[in-house]
Parts: sequence; C-alpha cells; structure tokens
Amino acid sequence: MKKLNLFFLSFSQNVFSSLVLIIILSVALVSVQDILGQYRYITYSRYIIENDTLSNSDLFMIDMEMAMNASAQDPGMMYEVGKPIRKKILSFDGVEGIADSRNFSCGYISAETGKKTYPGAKIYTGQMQKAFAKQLTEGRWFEQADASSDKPCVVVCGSTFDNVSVGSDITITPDDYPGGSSGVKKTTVHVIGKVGYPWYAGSYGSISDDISTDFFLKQQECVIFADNEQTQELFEDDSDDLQLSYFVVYKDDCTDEQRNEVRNYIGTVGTYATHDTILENTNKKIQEELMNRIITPIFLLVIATIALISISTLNTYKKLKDHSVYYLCGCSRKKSFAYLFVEISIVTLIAVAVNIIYVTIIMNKLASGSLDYANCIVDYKNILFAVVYCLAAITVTTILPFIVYKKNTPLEVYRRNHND
Amino acid sequence: MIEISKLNKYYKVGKGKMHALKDIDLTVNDGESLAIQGKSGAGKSTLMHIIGLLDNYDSGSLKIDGQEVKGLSDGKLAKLRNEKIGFVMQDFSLLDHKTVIMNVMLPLFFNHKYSFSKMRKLALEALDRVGIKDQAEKKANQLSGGQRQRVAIARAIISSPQIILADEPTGALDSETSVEIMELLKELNANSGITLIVITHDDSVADYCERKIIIKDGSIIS
Repeated sequence: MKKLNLFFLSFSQNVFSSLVLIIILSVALVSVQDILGQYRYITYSRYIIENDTLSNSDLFMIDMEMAMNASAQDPGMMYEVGKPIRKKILSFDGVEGIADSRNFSCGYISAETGKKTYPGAKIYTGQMQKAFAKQLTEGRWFEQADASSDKPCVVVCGSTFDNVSVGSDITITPDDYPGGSSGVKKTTVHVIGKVGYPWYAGSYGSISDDISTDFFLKQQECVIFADNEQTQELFEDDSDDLQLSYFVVYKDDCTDEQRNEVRNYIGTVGTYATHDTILENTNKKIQEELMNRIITPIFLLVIATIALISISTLNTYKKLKDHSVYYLCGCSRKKSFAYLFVEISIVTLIAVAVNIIYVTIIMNKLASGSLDYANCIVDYKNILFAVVYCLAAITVTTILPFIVYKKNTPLEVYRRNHND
Repeated sequence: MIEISKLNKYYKVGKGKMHALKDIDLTVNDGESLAIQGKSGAGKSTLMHIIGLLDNYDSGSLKIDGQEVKGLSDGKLAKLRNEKIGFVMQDFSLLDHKTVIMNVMLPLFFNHKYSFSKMRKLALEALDRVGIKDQAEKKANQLSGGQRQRVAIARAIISSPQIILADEPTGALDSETSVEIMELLKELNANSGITLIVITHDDSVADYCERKIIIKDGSIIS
C-alpha cells in the first residue's frame, strides 16, 4: 500500500500523457491481433489444403447463372442441376472421386448436462476425409477406425464437444432440428476422432475467380460421418443439399489426356481452378492483402513505442530532482530506479493487459459459441504475442531512461540545482 | 558519535586529480552542535556529503556510532541515512508539486516500519513541532521560503534521527526568517539531543553552534 502510494506520488504527474499512450497502444495492439488472427487463419487453411490428395485435383465451381436460372423456376432445382453434372464427372476414367460432403440436421444430447443442442451432421466422402485429413487434432478418420465397435463411428467438431473424449459414446438424434418433429430417435454413436480448436470443418460455401485456401474452411459445430450404408440408414432424409463447388480428385495414374477431357467438360458447365492456382492465390493474398493491412497497426505500434521511449526519457530527466530527494531521504539507487522502472512500464503493462482481456473475451465467446469470429484464429498464442511485445517494449523503453539515470547521480543533480 | 580520521577525497578534473579533503580528523559527539565554515570551494559541502553518506571517500575512516561506513553497500548506506540522518538543504530539496504532508512522510516510505495512517500521524506531529501543522495539505510550492524550510526540518526529524545535517539552511531566506529557522534547529538540538552539523559561511548562523571549525583548501585549519 505504501509503495503504491509512492508510485502514485510520481505517476500522478503524467496521467494525461500516459492515458493517451495507453489508448494508442491498446488500439494498435488490438489491430495487430486482428490481422495476426487473420494471418494465422489463412496460413492454417493453406496448411490444411496443401496435401497429396488435393494436389492431384481441380476445384470445380458450377456455373452460377445456370443454377440461378434453374432455381428461379423452382428453388429445389438449383441442386437438381448439380446432380447430373456430378454423375457425369464421376463417370470419367481419370476421376478417382469427389471431395465433398452432404449436410443433415442433427441433435446432440450431452451426457453431462442432459441438455440438447443442434450441431448438425456432415457425411464426408472418402475423398473429403483425405482432402481435409489434417484437420483432425485427436483420434483417427474412418478408414483407420477400430472395427470392433458396432455403433456408427463419428468425428466430432466444435466447442460443444470439448468435454467429449475420443473412444467414448455419445447420443445424437439424426434428422432433428430446433422445433422439429417429435418422433426423433436417439442413437448412440462412437467417437473416433475430434477436430479441435479452431473448429474449422471443410466447406465449399463460396465461389470466386481468385479463390484461395481460406474459402474452404468454416468454423462450425458438427458430427461427421463416413459415407457408408450404416450412415445412410441413420439419416432418412436424402438431402438435396449437394455442394455447388467441390474438388474433383484425379486418379494417381490419370493421364494428361484424361485430365484435359474432364477439364473440357467442367469448363462447359462451370469454371475450375487448379490446386496450384489456389495456392498461388493464397500466397498472393497473404503478401498483398494482409501485408498491406498490417502496415497501419504496425506503424501505430512503432509510433506508440517511440513516443513511449521519448516520454520515458523526458520523464526521467524531469524526475531526477525527485529521485535525488528520495536518495536524501534514504532510498537506495536500486530502489529508486525500480520505482522509475515501474512508472515507465505501467503504460505498456496496462495496454498489454487490455489486449489480453480482449483476446480472452474473444476466446471465451468462441468457446461458448456466442461469437462467430470468421476467418480469424484467436487463442493463447495471441496472448503470447502480447507478452513478447510487452517484454520487448519495456526493455527498449527502459534502456535510455536507465542511461540517463545512471549518468546523473543524486549528488550531481543536487549540486546542479544548488548552483542554479 | 561521528568519528573521522585521516579522511581524503579526490575529484577527477580533466586528466588530473583535485585533492578536495586532506587528512581530515574530526569527532562530533552525540548532541553536539557544530558549524563547519569556509569559503566557497573550501571543501565544506564535500565533507557534509561524506558525513551524510551521500558521497564516498578515497582513504581514511568514517564511523557513525562506531560503525565504519567504508565498503557498505548502497542499500545499507541508504538504510543508515534513513534511520540516523536528517537533511536540511539550502534549496529545501522538497517535492514541490506534492503536499506538505507527503513531503514530510517521504523518509518513512523507505523504512518499512509504519502503516500509512501511522506515517500521517507522525508527519502531523513533526509539522506541529515546527509550527506549520495547518499547512499540511497545501502543496509545497504554495509556501513561503521560511515555511518550506520548516517542512524540510519536519521531514528531517520525522525518523527521529541522531544527526541533522544542514547545508546553508538560511542561504535562501531573509534575515528575520533565518533567525526563526536557526532558533528552531537550535531548539531541536537542545531539547531532543539531536547532533546538529551546520555548513555555513555566515558567522551569525555559525554562532548558534557550540563549536566551529573552519576548512580551507580541504584541510581543517581551526
């Protein structure tokens, strides 16, 4: 308490400048965190998409005009248009399969709380599992699953399943949705794998000319099933929810001729992007878009840090007389500098504390599912960044004041004032 | 008791050395009042800084209450200064932007002995003793020179020190106020048994002390 009083004794002289700096630093740090989160997301998505299965594939995107025209007559027709195209693609000799999924509604009853939520269900094709294999943070995919369980095997994704462990059984209600039918049947399924934080499952929500890897992930809660007979029995509803874009995976021994044949066809019913093009677009996006956007917050951060150094150094000069009085009253040089150090560091510490609170709130909201922080990964690594910045900033902002303090002994300051 | 024996102090001047204090031998008994006089640059302030543990010396010995101070760490010297010595300086050496009471409490912040409320109580008692208790909540820079020196004296006595070192305590005051301040210091010396060492070039100020020494060119000449 006494030391706190002594600290405020000095700090109260610099409240305004300190407040301004705290605000600038906080804004800069939050902005950097935002960009950092986006950078982490896009590089994570690149990591997921960069794999052997997809390197031998093309992304097919249906002609949206054609699909829209069909849906203008009948909304259900939009997906009907896709069915024959899909069938035709699969009929080509060079095509191994299609990496996509079908979506179903599904309920989940927590064994701990008995509470029911509606995470939804996805049925992954074999190619889809391979295409997004890296997402799995725990357990295994269906192909390597232990066949001893007679229950359907699932991979779970999302914060809802944080407390569910691999190897356990969970209760789901297929084809169930909020306010849905009362006759849903409870089914026990066996969890063989988990997609952990940041809970991104494969998705083909967007179609774009300059498509990059970040288009293929969506943060979501879902129960993932293998595309097999057991699953077909679970979900009665033969979903129309086919994707309008997906990866066409070629066979390993697919010839250039066969590949061109497929490309010629998909070029007539839509557009396609090669895996290399997608990666190129991604790298371009990282370099051009993110790098351009990070300039402003980095500039703010640098300006704030330089201002912090200047103010700390000026403040040290201003405080030399006060510290010579402390010395006279029995404060050692070490302790005296410690007080100065706390004064200098407090601005950075407060700004970093604000940042850590911000990151923690975002993380908690993400964990509780109350925030959809799209295309951004925010976790403890972001806090690590804030702490590293804090240590670096404190070190940098203390060096000059330390030199000033060291060069001006209390006796010299006293003599100078005495002569004045 | 302060015992100084064969004390020497040198200052670096360019490439050479200046011999600031030469073989100083001096004993100051407890409760004594001593005036150190001399012309500007004679070495009296240097001697005061050494006795006040603000500066070090090159050879010889300085003992306070029988304890040799040579070789003590910065922390131990600070503790000794905090507990045994009070300073009254010509320029008052106050935190101008802070209240009188905070200035007086300052030495107690560093000794870890008292709670904040006890510190306030002691500070008010010290201010009462120097006759400016009613100014406690004013900022130090709102006071007159005489009042500020009283604040410095209150701060000097708050830790109940054995020694008060006063460096030209009336140097920035008018003659009437100078008399008041010296009367106050003399009263503290007489009634509290505090050893008083006054650095001055003013004979009328030195006359308040029982003993006078004169320093010339770094040596005690009388």
